[in-house]
Amino acid sequence: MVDTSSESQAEKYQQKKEERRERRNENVTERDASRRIKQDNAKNHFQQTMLRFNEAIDRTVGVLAVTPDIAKGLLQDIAGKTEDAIYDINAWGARTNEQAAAKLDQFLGKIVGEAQSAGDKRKADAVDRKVKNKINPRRERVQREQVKLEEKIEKLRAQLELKKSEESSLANQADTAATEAQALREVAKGHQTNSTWFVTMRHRIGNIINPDHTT
Amino acid sequence: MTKIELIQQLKIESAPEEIKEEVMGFLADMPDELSSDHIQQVTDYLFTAQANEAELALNYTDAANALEQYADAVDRNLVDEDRQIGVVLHDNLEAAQNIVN
Repeated sequence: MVDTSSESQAEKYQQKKEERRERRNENVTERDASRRIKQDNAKNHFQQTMLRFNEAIDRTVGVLAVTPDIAKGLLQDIAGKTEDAIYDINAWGARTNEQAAAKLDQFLGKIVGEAQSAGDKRKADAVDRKVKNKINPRRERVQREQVKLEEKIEKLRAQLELKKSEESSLANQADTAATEAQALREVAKGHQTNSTWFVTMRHRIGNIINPDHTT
Repeated sequence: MTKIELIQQLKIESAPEEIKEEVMGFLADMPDELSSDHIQQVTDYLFTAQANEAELALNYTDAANALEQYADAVDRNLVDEDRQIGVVLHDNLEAAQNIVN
């Protein structure tokens, strides 16, 4: 007699085993599907993040309106920080888009602020260099010329004072000479008058000596 | 002719005081009655005195002219020097403007 109960038990066992295997396979498929979904989500997050980064970099460069050299420096700086940000974003692959966007905004704000400061400092440095290299030498040259000119003017002023003094002395001499000349002319006039009188008296005495002689 | 008559004839009283004194001084040494020789002396004296006065007038006039010429020369020199100083100052002003520009 065949032990049917044992065969039945074995079939049941085999059947349950088969069922467990099928359920296991189904679970694996579901887990794989879930994993793929999560991977796709993470990939999408990363791609969106990179797009936002690129746009942000363009905006940063445009807003700062810096020279190509400065822009290059800033971009290199931003690129370094971007790598850090990507690492962080990848580390949070399972998080939501909103969280990633918030974190990204935080990074971007920090990067833009630092870039702005760096840009301002470089601009200020450039102005300092221009002042030091171009404006200061010109200013110093002008100051040196000004000192020379002031010395020259001072010398001229001294000469002018001396001239004035000499001129004053000469002018006094000229006045004195003119006054003296006038006085001499008066004396000459007196002698001329005297001469005329003596001429008259000579004629009168001539008339006495020679009454016929008419003058 | 007497000395008084001569004085009247020469009309010395109407002459300037300076001449009156000089002529009267010259006549003081002469006698009251004048000979022709005295008259000649007076004539020579008047001639010499007139020549001296004329020469003095010329000399004083020359001296006055020389002094006036000196005064004019000094004035002209001062004007020229002022002009030269003006040119120097103008040049320096231009130099200063060139530096400022």
